[in-house]
Amino acid sequence: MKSLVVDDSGVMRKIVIRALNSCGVNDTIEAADGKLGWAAFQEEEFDLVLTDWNMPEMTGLELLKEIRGSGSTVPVIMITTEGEKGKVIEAIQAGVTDYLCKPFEQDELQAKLDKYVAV
Amino acid sequence: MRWPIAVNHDSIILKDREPGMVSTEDIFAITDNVFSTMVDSRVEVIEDSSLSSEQNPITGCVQIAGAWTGAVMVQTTSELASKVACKMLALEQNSANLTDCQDSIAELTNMIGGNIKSLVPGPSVLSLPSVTTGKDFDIRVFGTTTENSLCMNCEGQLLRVVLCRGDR
Repeated sequence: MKSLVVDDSGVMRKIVIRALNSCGVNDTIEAADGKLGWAAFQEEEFDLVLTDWNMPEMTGLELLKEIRGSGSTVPVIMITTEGEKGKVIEAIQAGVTDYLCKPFEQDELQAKLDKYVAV
Repeated sequence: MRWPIAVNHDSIILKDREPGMVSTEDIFAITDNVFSTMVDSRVEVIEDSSLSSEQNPITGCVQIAGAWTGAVMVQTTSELASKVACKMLALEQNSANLTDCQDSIAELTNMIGGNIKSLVPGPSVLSLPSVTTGKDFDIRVFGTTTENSLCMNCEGQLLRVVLCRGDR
């Protein structure tokens, strides 16, 4: 299984990758913003995408729209501080698969990942 | 539009709260929640005091723009920044470098600011975080005045969250 982790925070990327590793997912590509994430997504095939929302160059929502616009049905999990109802609905309408608000317990992230890694 | 994919929207929780003022209780609850979930540390409110240059202060800042305009600053010591960086990055004690500390404080500030944003009238957007470190500095977000400031203790270190509101 191959995953793409997109976040401008190096700390968050490490936390997410650590959780992925715990699920047995060791093949992960990192990107520091949505634009780099989209470039990586176009070059390789991924089984799971985890993205932040607020990032420079291209936001996670824009990345999500690009991914869905390309016809991909890859599971996309948004991990963000944007917890307001309107924002969550915006992400759902753009085709997000799952949503995790920061801050989160390690168990919450693990539970989200387990669902998609098991698939 | 519906996507032909397995979507787990039942696991997505929609927050629906009437936006209003941000109280010191709100700031405390948000800060305690962020620190307890991300670094397994609790915070407690203490009497107002200031950071000295000997404590090598570090300040994270995010701005909110939109229906409500302002900024959220998180100020602490380099010692606490190092502790949280080691916890967040799963590093050995005292092995975090300056970049690790800056990244960790930036992310915690982003989380505190993002959660405060959900309490103020929207729609609004959150800026990317900035972090300032050094011996002797003062930060001012122009066009704002301090609306709320809460001094806390976290792992024996001073932690202050300041909410600045845009001048009308």
